[in-house]
Amino acid sequence: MENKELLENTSLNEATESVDAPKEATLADLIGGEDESFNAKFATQGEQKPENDGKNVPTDEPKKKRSFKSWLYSIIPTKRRIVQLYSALLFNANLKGYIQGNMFVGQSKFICSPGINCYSCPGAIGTCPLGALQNELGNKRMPFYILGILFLYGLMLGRTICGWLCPFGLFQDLIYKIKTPKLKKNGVTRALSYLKYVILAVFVFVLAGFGVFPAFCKYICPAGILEGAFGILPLDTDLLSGIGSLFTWKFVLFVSIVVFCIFAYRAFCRFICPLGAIYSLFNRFSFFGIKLNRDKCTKCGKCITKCKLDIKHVGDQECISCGECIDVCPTKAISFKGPKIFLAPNEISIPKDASDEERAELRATQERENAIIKKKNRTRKIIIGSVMGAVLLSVLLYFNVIKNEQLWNNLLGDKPPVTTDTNTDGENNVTVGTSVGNKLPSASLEIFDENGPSGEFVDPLVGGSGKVTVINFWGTWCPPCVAELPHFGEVASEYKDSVVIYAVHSVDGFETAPQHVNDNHKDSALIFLKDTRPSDDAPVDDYFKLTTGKGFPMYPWTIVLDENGVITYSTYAAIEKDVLIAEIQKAMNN
Amino acid sequence: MQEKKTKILHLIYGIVLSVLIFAVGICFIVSCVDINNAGKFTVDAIKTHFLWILAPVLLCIFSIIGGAVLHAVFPPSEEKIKASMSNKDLIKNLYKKIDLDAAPAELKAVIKSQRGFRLAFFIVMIVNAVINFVSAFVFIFTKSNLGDVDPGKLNEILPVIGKILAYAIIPFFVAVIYDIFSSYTYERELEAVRAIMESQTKKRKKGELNLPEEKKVCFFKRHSKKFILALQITLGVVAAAFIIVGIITGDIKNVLTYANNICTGCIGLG
Repeated sequence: MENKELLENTSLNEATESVDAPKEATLADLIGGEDESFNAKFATQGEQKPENDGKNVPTDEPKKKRSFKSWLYSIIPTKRRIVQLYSALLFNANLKGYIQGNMFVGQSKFICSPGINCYSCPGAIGTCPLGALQNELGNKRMPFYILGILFLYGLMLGRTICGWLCPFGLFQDLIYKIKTPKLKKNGVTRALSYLKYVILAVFVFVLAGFGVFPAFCKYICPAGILEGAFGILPLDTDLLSGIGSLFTWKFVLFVSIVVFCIFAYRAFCRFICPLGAIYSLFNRFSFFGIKLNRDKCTKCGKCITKCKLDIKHVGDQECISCGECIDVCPTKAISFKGPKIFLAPNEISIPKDASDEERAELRATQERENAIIKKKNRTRKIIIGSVMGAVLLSVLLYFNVIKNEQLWNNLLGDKPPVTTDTNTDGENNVTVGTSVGNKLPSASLEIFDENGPSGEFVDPLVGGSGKVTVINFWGTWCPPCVAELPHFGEVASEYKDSVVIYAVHSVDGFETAPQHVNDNHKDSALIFLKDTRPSDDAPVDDYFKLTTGKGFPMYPWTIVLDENGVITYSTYAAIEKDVLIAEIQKAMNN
Repeated sequence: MQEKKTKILHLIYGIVLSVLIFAVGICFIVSCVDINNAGKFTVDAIKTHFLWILAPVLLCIFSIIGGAVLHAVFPPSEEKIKASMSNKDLIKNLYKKIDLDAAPAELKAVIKSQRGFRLAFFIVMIVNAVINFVSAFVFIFTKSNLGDVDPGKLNEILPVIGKILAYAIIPFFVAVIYDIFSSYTYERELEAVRAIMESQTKKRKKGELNLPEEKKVCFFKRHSKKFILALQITLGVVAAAFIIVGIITGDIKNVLTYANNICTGCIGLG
């Protein structure tokens, strides 16, 4: 019996049963599976619903075998899934990155994707707001721009982003579809949902304040492994040499989260994601989302029961606006917030005492009006679909064709300058190149110190002649680079008679380099050099590309040369002092 | 196929697949740790270690495909949606219909005691949370704890993170216990409220008691739409202002510097 009647009826005999204390779920209870009802597929208004309107009426009649058409109908993606796929493709439109094994570098990277989308993903055309936020906080800068973007996204969409736009949310939705017994929500999961606020406070704000940044990206975020590591490593197996215990930890965590997400719906979103925690603060007053008509609501609780997240009521901070509760509400009290793009079909109430003629006339009127509404909705769908398709196509063309240097070089016959394998040093018969065993190419770089560029130039190959040369590529914006640089300084001091160490700063962020040198490396034995770039649009610095062969910047990078300028060691990861000393000694003995 | 048999079939399939997925997950984790302990990550090392788990992975994939076929051919029954209101909401609604002042003393005492227990535990939970979070901040602020820690070294930073997380996990467990305890107190309270409702219903039928007056809705709830609109406008203005200030102060350049250069340690490659 409905609970509304309980309130109106003074008799207790008709009251609903109380909810017992949480029982341990039996195995049969755990088999929820993940069957989206037909109505959950059509979460916006105005859609024609199939004959079964979603009322889960148990029946003892034998089930009819589904036809192929109905099976096909059931596997068509829902609107939400289509939007998720569209969003994932839009924010990872640099598809050539997956083929060429490099990431996109360009001006569009200041655009923050609304969801978790690692900037290191080969396809990413924007940046993750969480990583950028930690970077700004770690560098003791007030992140006005990032906070403004987060406020804007939160105000506009709230956690609708989690349910409709986040690529990692899409990934979790898809792996949840694997048919296993599922962990249903309970008091523990509800309590665990507050963990993400703790992670937000500790890993994003507190640790960044103490110089440990980006702590969440570095130690927890699985998107970096899924999109960054898995996107780049298979295409560039040379990079495998640099990974170690940090990657192991993150890989272990990634696998654990994936397995957990198979059994618990959106476990990362519910319990861990700090971006979801930020957006949840805006959920109740965002422009788009789920709203509840309290006048129609009878507090039957079907929406809460249907929802797989830990909501206490529809539209609260845990709600991701997936819309599954809309169709189970018996009084249609739940709907999406925001402008109604699609019109709902008219429902004319026919009076009980109406004659047959009147009934027929009313029904005919209803059908005529619904036909017009259907036509209007179809037109709107075509317009919206065309606009969205045009936007996506333009973005894909721009990033994969217009911005594809390799393609244009191949088409126009221009070949990039070759610095590998084709030239040899006539004296020692060693190939000039970027791999171990090759000789490093020559180049002239400007020396800088705490006062800025000095006007003097040096060629690391010439300057280190007769000594072991170490070249370290770094940037003040790169926390591991900054953390390891003092070790290079110590080694440079200890082995100053036999080793020369050059620290080459990237063009990006160079304006802060002299101050950093002044504050941290004033009397260091390191020789600081400034890299160059042919133009602002160039994706990577000249000397970095010349010596590493990489078409995109990866910092830190360390190269060790022997006395003859032959590369004996080249790695991209942060290097420990004892490993550096070991490689220097190996180069001395080479 | 009969519904019961379908359900059992899906249950067995689900259990088998769950075990397989766990096993594969553990194998992946062990393999990765093994490679890390043995030496560097190379193509050959990865191939050697992951080859032996190829069989369960393939079995998993075929099982997933099999599951899809199973669900297509023998679709499971639609889940029944049971309506259930939480005890807390039920009590809240019942309070509107009873006159607590006119209730028997012993039932009022039960309600009071349950509320008291709940409040006391709630206070304990909050105090515990505050103590742990303050301790976490004190730990972080104390230089001797973090001063010599090299953030680049995993074996130095992990114990620090572990200690900070421990300070956060203790309040979480207390919150879980509070959740269980409070549901028990709500049950006892509901029993008492029901008993009051029953007795007062009889009295109302006889005309001996009237319904309690409806309480006035508070100012904020009456004007909630206006407050929400004001909040939305304020946040919108703040967001726009922040973005403009960020553009003027050069935040975009900082974001571009960060986004256009991969810091390998920052994404976990190291």
